[in-house]
Amino acid sequence: MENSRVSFFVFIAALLLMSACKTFEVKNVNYAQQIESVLIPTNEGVVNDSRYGISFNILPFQYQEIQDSSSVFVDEVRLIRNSNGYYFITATGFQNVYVMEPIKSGLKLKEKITVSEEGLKAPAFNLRSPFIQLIDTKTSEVYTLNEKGIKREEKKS
Amino acid sequence: MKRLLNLVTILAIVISGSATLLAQQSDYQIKKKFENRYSELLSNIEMAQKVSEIDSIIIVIDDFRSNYSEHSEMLDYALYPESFNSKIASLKSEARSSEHKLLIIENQAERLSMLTEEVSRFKGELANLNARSDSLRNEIAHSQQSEKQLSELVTRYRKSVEQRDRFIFDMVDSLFVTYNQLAPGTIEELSKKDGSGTIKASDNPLEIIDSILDENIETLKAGSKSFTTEDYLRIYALQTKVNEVWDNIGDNLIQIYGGKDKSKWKKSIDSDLKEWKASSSLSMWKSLDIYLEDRDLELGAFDNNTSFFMALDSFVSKASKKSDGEIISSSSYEDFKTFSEFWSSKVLDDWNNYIVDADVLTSSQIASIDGKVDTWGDKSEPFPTSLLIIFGIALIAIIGLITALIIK
Repeated sequence: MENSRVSFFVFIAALLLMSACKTFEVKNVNYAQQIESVLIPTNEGVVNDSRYGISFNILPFQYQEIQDSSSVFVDEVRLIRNSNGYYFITATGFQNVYVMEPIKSGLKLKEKITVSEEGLKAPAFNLRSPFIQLIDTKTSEVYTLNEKGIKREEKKS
Repeated sequence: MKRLLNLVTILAIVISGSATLLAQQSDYQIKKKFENRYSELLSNIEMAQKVSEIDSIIIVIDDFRSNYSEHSEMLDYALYPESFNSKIASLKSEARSSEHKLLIIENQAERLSMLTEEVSRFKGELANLNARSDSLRNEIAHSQQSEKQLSELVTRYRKSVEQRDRFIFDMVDSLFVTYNQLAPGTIEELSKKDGSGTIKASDNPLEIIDSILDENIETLKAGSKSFTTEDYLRIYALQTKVNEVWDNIGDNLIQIYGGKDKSKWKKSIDSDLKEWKASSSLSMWKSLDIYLEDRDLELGAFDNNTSFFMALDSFVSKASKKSDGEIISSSSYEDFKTFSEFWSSKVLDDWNNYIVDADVLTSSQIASIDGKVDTWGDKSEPFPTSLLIIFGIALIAIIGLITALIIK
């Protein structure tokens, strides 16, 4: 009887300790990247952002856009991260902005935001916290985005 | 409440967005434009040729700062590890450093301009002196006048050449002082200015140096009967001086004034200097040898500093040793007086500056010989006759006294 009581207390203490470790987290982390990264893909499609420490292949994105990943057609990749930690990725000719969530050794699509049926002419991202502003410097179209989609769209009259 | 806040934020973005619609640019573009303009300004600073240009650039840097100050926060982030302010400070620092350099160059250019005027004056003066010397030389060559009048002509000619040589000494000094102290980078700047025609070809110091060399080579060829040993020593000293100065500033002068004929100038002046050196050296040693022979001072052969010093040293040492065996004879003392006259009045006095300047003898060599000459003088001086008579009388008196004592 005595032994089972001791075992019960040890079990409760271990449970409390484990739950305490599991719930350790820091809130209000700002992941925002103040200025977009403009990355040039290698012949294999790899882009590397040495300042923010991320490297990935653009070919899967290109495949999503034109269903072709035989060679690299993207000249510059535009990348920015919002305060919640989501990556916003697009490039010239893309119809979409890809909102990607970092996962273990990968990026997982959070949202595919269609912004232009004809494809973006000269896209660029600005951080306008808590949003990401996408502008097409050729057409002067402006989109206010977050990880859920377009919040607002403006067109130059 | 949260939705209301989001709405307000969106409205704010839309309002600010409508302003930016007029000129759609991304932060990245602003950063790139800033960097490009920065590089452009840096390049302008490096290319600036005048202090006034730098002053204008400093004003442009202030405008540049004002234009981008609204983006300073974004730029601080984008330019990390540098910042907006550090970039502006760096531009200003470069501008100030360039301004300082250009101020020095402009001062040098001003000095150069003054020197050009001076060179022009030198050229006129030198031409007058050359003309006077040449005219006197011709007059001597074709003279039908009496010996006395001819002698006067020769004296005037020698004085004229001496005056010209002194003028060249001063001019070469002035060239040295100006061109040896040019700040780094100035030579390149001045050579550009020369190319633009700031300095007339006729005022080119290289022309003047070349004419000095030609004239002096000609003078040595023509003046063999008129010049004294002192004249040859002076010419040799002048040649040594010009050589030294050329070694120090010749490359600078050629760089600045040589234009497209740099190697031609160098070759020509180097060749003339070599000829002048050989000719003045030969004339000077020959004249010195004749001078000593005329005074029966047989020193043996010499034709350079080392052999001359060894000849003098050997002569004085041998003569001094010879004096050891002579107590009453005065022949050694006569030799000493002849040599001492040459040594004291010429080497230590009249010719001393030229001898030391041209390294005919170094100061330590002169001091060494001088000590031996003093010793030789002490040894060779004969016993005075009066003392000999007194000594003789005293000896006779002592002998007489001793004889008288013995007889008693």
